[in-house]
Amino acid sequence: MSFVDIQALRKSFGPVVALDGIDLMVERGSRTVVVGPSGCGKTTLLRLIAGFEAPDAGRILIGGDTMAEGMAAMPAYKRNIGIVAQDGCLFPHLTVAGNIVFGMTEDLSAKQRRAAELMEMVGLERSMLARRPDELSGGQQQRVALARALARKPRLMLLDEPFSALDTGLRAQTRKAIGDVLRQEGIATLLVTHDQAEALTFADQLAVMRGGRLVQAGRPRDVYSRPADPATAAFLGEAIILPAEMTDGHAHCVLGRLPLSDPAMCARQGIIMLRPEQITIAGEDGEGVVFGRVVETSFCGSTCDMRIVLRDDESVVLNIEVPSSTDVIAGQEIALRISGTAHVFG
Amino acid sequence: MTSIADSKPLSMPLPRFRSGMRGTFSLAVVIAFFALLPLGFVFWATAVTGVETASQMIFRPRVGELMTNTLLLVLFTVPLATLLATSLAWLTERSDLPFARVWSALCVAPLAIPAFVHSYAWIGLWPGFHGLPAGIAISVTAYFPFLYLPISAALRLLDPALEDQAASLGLSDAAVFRRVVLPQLRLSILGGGLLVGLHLLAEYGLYAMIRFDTFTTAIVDQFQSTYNGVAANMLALVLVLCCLVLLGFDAGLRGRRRYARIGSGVARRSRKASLGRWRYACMLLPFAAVVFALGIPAITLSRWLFAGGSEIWRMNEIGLALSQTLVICVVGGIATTLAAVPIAWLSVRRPSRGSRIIEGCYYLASSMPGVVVALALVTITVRVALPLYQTVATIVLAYVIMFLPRALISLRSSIAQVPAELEQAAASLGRSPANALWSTTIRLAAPGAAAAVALSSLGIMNELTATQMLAPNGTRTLAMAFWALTSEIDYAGAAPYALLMILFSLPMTALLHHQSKKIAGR
Repeated sequence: MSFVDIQALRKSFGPVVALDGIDLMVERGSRTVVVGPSGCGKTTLLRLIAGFEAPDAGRILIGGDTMAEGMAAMPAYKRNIGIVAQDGCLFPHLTVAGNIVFGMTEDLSAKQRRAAELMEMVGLERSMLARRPDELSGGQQQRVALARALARKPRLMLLDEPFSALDTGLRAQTRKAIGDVLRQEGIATLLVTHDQAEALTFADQLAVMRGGRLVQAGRPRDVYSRPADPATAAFLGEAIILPAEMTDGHAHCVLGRLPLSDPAMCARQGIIMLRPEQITIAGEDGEGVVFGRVVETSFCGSTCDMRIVLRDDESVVLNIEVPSSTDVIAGQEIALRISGTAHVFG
Repeated sequence: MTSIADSKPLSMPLPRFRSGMRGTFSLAVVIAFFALLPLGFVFWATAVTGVETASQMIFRPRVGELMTNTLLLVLFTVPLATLLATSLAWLTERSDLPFARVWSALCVAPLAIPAFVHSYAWIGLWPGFHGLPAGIAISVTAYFPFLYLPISAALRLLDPALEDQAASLGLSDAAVFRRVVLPQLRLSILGGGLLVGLHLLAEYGLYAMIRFDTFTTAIVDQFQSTYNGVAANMLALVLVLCCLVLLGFDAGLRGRRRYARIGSGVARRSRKASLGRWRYACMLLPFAAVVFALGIPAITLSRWLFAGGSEIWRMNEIGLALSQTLVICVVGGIATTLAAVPIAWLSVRRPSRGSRIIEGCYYLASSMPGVVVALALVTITVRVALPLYQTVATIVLAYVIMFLPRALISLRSSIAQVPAELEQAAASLGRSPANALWSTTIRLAAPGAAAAVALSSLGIMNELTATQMLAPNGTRTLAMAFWALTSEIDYAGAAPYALLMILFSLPMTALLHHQSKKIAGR
């Protein structure tokens, strides 16, 4: 049985349905990322798991214990689930040390020892223990918030967009640091975010939510290359979506004959998806290339974004990224090669 | 070829940059000098008296008695009022108490009733109610709104995410309140408690009516009976020292910390705690508070008004008192607001160490009891500027000293809302600095200025001590007339004056309530 087992979870706020029957499993010690656009219900899911709200229907089991069933819910303070909120949510009236030991019940010396240990674990100087939260940078605040949540050795850690308030560089660094600590401690983690790149990087299991429903869950690579529907495909990254006809394990479309990711697919008509990185500029004309014209290029440093229309069908626009060293200018005709397989939406 | 030395000198010297700011700053300093006159006077008077006479005057049984009374009054009233105000604020803001909005408004309404009208109402019901117990009971009911307002505003502003966070760290609801909510209310409790404490030290009418002697009543008695400068001055010194101790105590507890909400984002609305089956029983607390703070004045007043009939409405006397009160309120309110403009502008647009020190001077000066301010101005005018003795100018100065911070608070928040860029835009369109200030910031801050006038006028209308000692001959404000009549035990005759003071105070109390909600973002 899974460590966290969520079954048919529902929650409405007045007329607004926030969660419309969610089923989700989280394995012991793994990282799950719930990703979705703003207002998809992901924060509500987190708050229900934490115990800040009670569901309308459904069940939440953690380690075999029932946390919530129907409208009955165990109060948050009895669950031992850690949470790191978007802005860290440190207590402004306490020092860093006071924040970290806030939930501990051990005696003073044990608290002090543990606080020092935790500071080291999250990569902060011990001298910062005496500081006030407003004297820390955003990244440091998040690390203190993590230390505070870890202090109680929680069985599950919830991360509520904890990196979104940080600068780009700091975000990746803090995410890695926090992820490493949690991995090392073997604590199952559930991260909620609207940032698809962050979700793909962090997750062992990726769960995509939209409109209060769980659209798809699986390994990030699988969800990325085989999304359940075009909206999910577009949410996780740039996608090329085309109508196609299928015969003997291949799709026939404006880009030619492409092998299917699932050769057993038996539908005759369908919609296929390719990722832009499957399209490269072919050096010379050859077997299996398609021709297009570059409409626009924009320089992005190491790469260059290119908008291309097909010669055979100018209504098909491809946005691809090439190394910026590629010597192509707008208006030029080029040959394109397609690699990999096409994904058919079921 | 012409060198720089050959070039023609400017026909007009360039004004020093920021000269406008310097002018404003000097103005603020001059006002601060006047505001600190009473405090300076007390220490000067002590110095003139000499150590020996001073200690003779101070270390005597009578002062010990007054000290005991004052100390007991503060030590009982402030904690009791805090407990009551915090419970009421929690019930009205954070629980599902029925009719919470109504109770909230009713908990602020007692502010519309002058403190001495409260005690007039109590002894109307219980003529034998005197001494310390009466002092504590009436003070708690008269002054708890000063604590209720900031505490309820702070409760609305608290970030509920912090409480969720504490729950996730294993704290039960009661522990969350004790360890997360209460510490964050500390500043509001300290601020409100200080205000109540200063009122307890400064109030005259409330305690004189129930024959409870404090330093303030003793100074007024001394002043009225003998004009014996030295005795009154030495009592004033002790009173001022009490105020300073209170201020120091507050500053010490407050520390330098401000509990800003860290991080960004919109705070989630806080959830209301469910009172369950206690929901209706919990209404007993606000009900009791309202019965004592509003019910008793209402019963006594209506009884006297009914008993007095039409006879007590001596319209020419009442009309005269009313018109004199309104004139003095408007003049005093406008003067106070104008005096607050320089520092309000400086503290928003050019905050500096200097501006903070000046601001501190105003707050310090205004925490001096009215009786000390009056005593100082009487002595100074008699000795230094006799033509100013008992003139409108002197009494207006007293009001400016006492009520400037009230005007400052409204004025500053409204100036802060006007972007400085507007002033700069006006300057770039050719307006002089003063003209730019007038046509942008002052125009847009006008509602705040109106509120400032209103709030200081409210204070002036209900001010009794300083008004009595400083008012020009022949002046009889509503408060003075009320006081004179109650002193003659004409309680029925005094009722119309009390009613008028309450009626005029009500709109301004509503304004206060509204402002406290606006500060809390609703």
